[in-house]
Amino acid sequence: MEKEFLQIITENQGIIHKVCSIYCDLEEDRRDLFQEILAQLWRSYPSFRSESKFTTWMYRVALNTAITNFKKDKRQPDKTGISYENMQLVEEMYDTRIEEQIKMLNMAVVQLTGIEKSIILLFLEDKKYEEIAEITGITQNYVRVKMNRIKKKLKLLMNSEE
Amino acid sequence: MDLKDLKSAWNTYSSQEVDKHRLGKENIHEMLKNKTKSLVDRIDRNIRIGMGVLLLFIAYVLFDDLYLSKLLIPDSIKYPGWMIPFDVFSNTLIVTTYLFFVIQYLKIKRSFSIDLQLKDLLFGIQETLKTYRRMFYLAVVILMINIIVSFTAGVYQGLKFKANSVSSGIINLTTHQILIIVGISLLIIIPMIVISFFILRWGFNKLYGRYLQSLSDTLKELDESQTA
Repeated sequence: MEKEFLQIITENQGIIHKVCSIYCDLEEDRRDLFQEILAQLWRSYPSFRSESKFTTWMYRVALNTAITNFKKDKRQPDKTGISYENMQLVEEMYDTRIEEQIKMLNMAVVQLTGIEKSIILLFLEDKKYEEIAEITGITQNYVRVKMNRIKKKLKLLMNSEE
Repeated sequence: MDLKDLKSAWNTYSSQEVDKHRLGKENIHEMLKNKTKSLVDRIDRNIRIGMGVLLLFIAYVLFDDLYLSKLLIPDSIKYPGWMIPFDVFSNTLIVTTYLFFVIQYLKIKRSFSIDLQLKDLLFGIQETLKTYRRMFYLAVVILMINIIVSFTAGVYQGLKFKANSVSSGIINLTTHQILIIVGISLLIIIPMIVISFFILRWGFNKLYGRYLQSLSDTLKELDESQTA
């Protein structure tokens, strides 16, 4: 089972990295969260039934771990955004337009709550409302409501930037 | 910038991030070997240790009541008869409260898993934390009940022994005097209980208050979905 688990996690590790980058702003926190998600996935892997897609289940475990993650110091998961260190690296590599967009994205993410972060992440990953609802366990209607609120937040942010 | 641009920015950023942090099978295997303990895991372990310590303490209290005190206290000093019902009541209360606590804990544990729906998961963590807090309260209650019983019996026996030695056993303690003894005992013990509860509550809130608050905020946010 371990071999099979390692194989499937190695193939789908992008999901964990993406969750970590939206919930953590520091490299150290990111590593801790990655390890915690990995441990939780391994622990609950025996209970995974193929009723849903593996990636759906993986997103759920990863997001649940990130949302309920406890930090002893001043930062709570809700108040963190995309890594500033990583953003600077990205800035060196892409043109200014993308730079601006990533900055905007980072600023938007910081304003979001834990649940909103999970919804925007899944939206950015091109998941349909139905799948977002399945992963987060909230109704499709509420996902729509939340998405509208997130859009409003983003618009406000963009206006204030301009 | 609209959401389409945001998506393309995210794609660029996230694919770069994934490539940068990508791990091999061996690295993932290595990471799995390093055991991590989340807050809930740590609390869970502490509850189990606490339950073990409480069980030992209860066993000691019962052993002391039923066997040890009879063995150590000389026959000339008799345990006051009027305290026996109180003693039986306190022991029954301690054992039943402990069993109730254990059953509640097992019930929470049985339904707890990280791949639950978020709402159930948050509720499960909240309940685990509350159970942890209840365990401390239970420990205080058990300790205090034990102190009250021993203290009252001790004060009563001390006074009775003094009265016997002064008046060669002619003067007996009246009900009024017994009530004063119990009253004084309660006056000392009750503030101790109240202070202990406040200290525990303060300490617990300092450690986990903010986390409990964020859990309850997230739950509230999810509850909006019922009305949406």
